[in-house]
Amino acid sequence: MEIKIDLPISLHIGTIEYENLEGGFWRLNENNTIYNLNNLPHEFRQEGIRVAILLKKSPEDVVNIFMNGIFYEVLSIKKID
Amino acid sequence: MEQYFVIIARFYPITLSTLVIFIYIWNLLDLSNKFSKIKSFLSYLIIFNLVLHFIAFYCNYNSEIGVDYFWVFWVIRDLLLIVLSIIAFENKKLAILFTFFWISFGIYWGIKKNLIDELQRDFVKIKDWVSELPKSNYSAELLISLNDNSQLPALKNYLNSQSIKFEIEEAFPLIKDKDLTDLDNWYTIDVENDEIANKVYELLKNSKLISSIEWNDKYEVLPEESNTGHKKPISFSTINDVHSIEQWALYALNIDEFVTKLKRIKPKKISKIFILDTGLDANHEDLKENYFSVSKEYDRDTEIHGTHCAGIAAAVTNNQIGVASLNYNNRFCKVTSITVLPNGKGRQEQIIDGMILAADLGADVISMSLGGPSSDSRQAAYEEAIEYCNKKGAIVVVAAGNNNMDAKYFAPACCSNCITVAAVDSNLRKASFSNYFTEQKYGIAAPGVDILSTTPHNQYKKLNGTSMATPYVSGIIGVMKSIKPNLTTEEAFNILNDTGKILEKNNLSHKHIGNFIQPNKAIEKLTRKTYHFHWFIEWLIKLFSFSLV
Repeated sequence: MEIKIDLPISLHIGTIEYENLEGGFWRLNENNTIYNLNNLPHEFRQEGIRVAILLKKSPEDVVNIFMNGIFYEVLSIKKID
Repeated sequence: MEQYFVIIARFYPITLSTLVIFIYIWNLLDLSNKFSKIKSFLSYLIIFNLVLHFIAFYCNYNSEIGVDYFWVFWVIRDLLLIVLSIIAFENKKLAILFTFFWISFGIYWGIKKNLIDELQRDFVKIKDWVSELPKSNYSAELLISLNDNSQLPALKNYLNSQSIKFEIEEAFPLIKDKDLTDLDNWYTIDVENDEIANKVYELLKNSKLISSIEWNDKYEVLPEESNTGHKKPISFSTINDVHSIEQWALYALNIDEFVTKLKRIKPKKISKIFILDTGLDANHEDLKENYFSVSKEYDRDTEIHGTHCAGIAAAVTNNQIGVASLNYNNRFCKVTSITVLPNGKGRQEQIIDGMILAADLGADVISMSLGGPSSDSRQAAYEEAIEYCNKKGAIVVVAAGNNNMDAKYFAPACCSNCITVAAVDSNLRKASFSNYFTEQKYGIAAPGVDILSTTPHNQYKKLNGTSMATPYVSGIIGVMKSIKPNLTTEEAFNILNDTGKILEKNNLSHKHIGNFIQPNKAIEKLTRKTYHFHWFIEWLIKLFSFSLV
């Protein structure tokens, strides 16, 4: 029997980018897959840095001003070289 | 079909004018018998012109611009003018006077009724129509080089014998000096599809007639990403707000013409625009005079988004401070805030609560620069809320979203009884991020790139997004509601859409974003319909003018 678990938490490695829309927000680019970030700590708000990041998907019924897809909560983040 | 009727209908005044000119020439030629051949040609032209005239006439009354009973008067008028022109041209002095009057009258009404602009709109429609026509049945292409040009007929015979439908053309027809190159031996073979192209390739690759054969890749040039920032120097004669020179959107929206029209209009009330967003800095120097508070908790902005949107919709204008909005001299609208997205995000329940509160507080326009993914249940809830707002007299304006996707996948953008707004850049091209419309009932476009507006603590900032386009539409609807308080969503959209600038389609993507709002024309159309006591003057204009109403 196959048991499928849809985990709301996932680990990603990618580059931090800034999207200049609606006042701007930060996102993670992991091999051209984009994850919009809700609460990126200030020390990581630099374009081009590579990070390992633990994300939790926001509920889909959340409405926001960015209107640019689903956002993710940053649970943990570490800079990698 | 309707649009073609409208286009042909435009020929109506032209055919009438040319008819008179032909009669005039006919009369001149009548003085001498030397021109019998020209006269005979002219008679055909007159007949052709008459036929075109009556076709255009028919089209007028089969399109929206036709008015039920005017055709009786127009027929009488046309016949009268033709008879008058024949009589007048017997007398040279009268003929000159008559021609001068005729041309002046035509030019005057042409300019007054924006006939040139209308014709430009039609031209864009025709261009779109032509570009959508199937250009060729051949979608695959091979490039070959013949050993000798004399072998071309043999090649054609060979392909015909294989029952292949094809077109063969010189690949480089512009070569002038053919002695210097062998490129004149190169030809393209167009066939219906890749499968047939493969078959031709297999047939010819070992043929002695040709020296080489290859697939000819068809490259499509993607549209250039629009440059942001208006290149033209911007200055306005009707507003004096210091930062207005950085507001390209006001230039694109023809604010000078718009203000000139507004100066002559007395609003019936001051309409209320509700910004449902992140809150609003009620003490901003360029907003406070136009702001009324619903509750103190909404009078501050946790982000910058709500304050920015409010400035676009109704910043205090012509006060030598900050930016300008469409709310000229602050005579038409007031703005307020309900915080539904503290910190920029929230849940649908908060949005709907805000909508109901706004409607209950007498909102004329509810501006919502927000959204999220749609689902049946979410859409249904928004639809109910919008219906409630509509019944209370409010028009709901929402952002299309910033995913460069179909707005139908996002709520409340997908809802049917609100006006959904897409964004364009300073070149009036779809903003790269803007969502587009395929099923949207009321979709329209407004400026949404590099938009300067108010931000908290008396600051000003340029932002991008369909959120910025939305309050431009809310602003003009606010002005319209102050002139015609019982304006409905459908009426407001029809006016904005009918008077909007038709944006040239991006032929590669076919991403439709609606017409670009033109507030000056919208107000002109609105007031033309509103002031019914002018009906008699309108009636006289229609009766005697060349232009189409």
